[in-house]
Amino acid sequence: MERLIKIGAEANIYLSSWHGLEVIRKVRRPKPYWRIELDLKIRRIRTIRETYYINLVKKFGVLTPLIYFSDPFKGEIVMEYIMGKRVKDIVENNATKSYDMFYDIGKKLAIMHSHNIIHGDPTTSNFIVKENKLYIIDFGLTFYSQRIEDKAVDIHLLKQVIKSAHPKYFEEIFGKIVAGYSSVYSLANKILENVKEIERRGRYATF
Amino acid sequence: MNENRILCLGVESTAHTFSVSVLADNKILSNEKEVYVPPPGEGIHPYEAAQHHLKKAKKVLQNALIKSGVSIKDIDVIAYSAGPGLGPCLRVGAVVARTLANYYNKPLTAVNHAIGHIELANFFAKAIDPVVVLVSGGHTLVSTYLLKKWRIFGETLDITLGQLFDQLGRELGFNSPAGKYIEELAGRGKKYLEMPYSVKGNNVSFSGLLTYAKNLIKKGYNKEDVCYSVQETAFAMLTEVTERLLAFSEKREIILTGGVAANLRLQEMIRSLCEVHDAKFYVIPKEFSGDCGAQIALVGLLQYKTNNLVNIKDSVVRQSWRIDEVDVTWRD
Repeated sequence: MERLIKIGAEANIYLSSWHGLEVIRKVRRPKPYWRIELDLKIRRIRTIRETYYINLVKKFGVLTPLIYFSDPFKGEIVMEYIMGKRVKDIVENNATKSYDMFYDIGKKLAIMHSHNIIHGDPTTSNFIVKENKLYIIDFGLTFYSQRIEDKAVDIHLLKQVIKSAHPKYFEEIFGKIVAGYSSVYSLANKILENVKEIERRGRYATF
Repeated sequence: MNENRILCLGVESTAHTFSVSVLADNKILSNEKEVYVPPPGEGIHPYEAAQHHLKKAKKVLQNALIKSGVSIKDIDVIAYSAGPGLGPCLRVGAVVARTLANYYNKPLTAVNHAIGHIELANFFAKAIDPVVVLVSGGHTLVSTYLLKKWRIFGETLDITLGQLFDQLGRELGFNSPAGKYIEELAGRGKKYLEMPYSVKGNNVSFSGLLTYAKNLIKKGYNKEDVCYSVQETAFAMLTEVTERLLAFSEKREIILTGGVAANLRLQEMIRSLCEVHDAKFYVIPKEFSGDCGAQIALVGLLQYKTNNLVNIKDSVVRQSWRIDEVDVTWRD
């Protein structure tokens, strides 16, 4: 038995079972607007990347779902079901928690960046909190890079999302992320400077 | 004649187009325009464009009033596009609007051109809470409305879709805006050539794609195939970030607006994504997709109704002005 629980941007997310376990089955849909060559290639690459990086970052203490099964040719991953709350929903429901999730988000991104792993899609719907622990999901756009610019783009994405989706709490939230990010990473200042540079390059930016 | 209707006269002059429109509450009474056309193979020259606008301003204004059947004396408010855009062009529109406001003693309101594209599209669509895809020569972004602002979720990190087509067009000897020529060539393309695909989170980047395509043209590749492949790749990138925002925001409507919204292939791609997500798809009517006075008049009217006016001495133009800096006084 399985149930479709979310139609994401790229994939359908099913709540399914796997040898008696309750699991998530993530299936990357063919995109009607991608040409078939591009479609097969991108779905295969992103499935491989996601499987690889979800496993890799565990080594550095970043919590991610366990992978049970992955099939790049079908664009399919079976993984652990993290029964928590998305950070997006926590903020939208104005649930103030004692646990400082945004400090932790900054810190975990810094840990990944210090190992030259760029998440690529750090939006508030890709962070899940379960029992006061932060899980990161959706590693389909993740890549390896030593470049300051790529790390800054990652932070810029998160900043952009918070500013647009949660404007009321923007200052507070982003401040915590910056604090967490800077707490463990010696290059943090340099990268945060670069974030401002990216903003200055934005269209019609007035700084 | 309804005596109680509110009349707004809007002046647009951010780039190629000088346009004047008269709008009455829910009706566009006139929308006259003259478009500056650069020589073949060239882009817009701001000074030349401004000269063009100056020469055409009087005729466009007169025609807009005549077609609307309204006397300037009955106009309630004058609106002008205050930016973003090319300084010399913007100043022409601002001078025309200030002069009218001053001479006829009318209130003046300053409109953000991009907000005009968005609100005019929604004027026709009547969507409730849409994801907006704005694609033009000046903008390429995806946005949703929240708490008095149109919020930017994703945008181009370098050039816009319009610029991509214009600059590729220049390489092929077309004048700007070249979108319609590229679309025509692309329609005859048969072979898909692999192109750089650059999506960074919710943002896109087209500069690598442009350089790559220009090099293929220089190397003598079939023009139609290059245009076809550029279109397929650039639109797929944009559609992907649109889908990302649709999924993230969990909204059920998409509005496509701006000059590039007229491209049928882009419409087809965004529509296909709406089908997957069971969302409603709206696109701005073709005659209003490019820059026009109606987009300024409409927002001008909304701003007038919410007392969002500007004194003549403060009626400046802003070459840079992001949509998320604009206070949306007319929405909850």
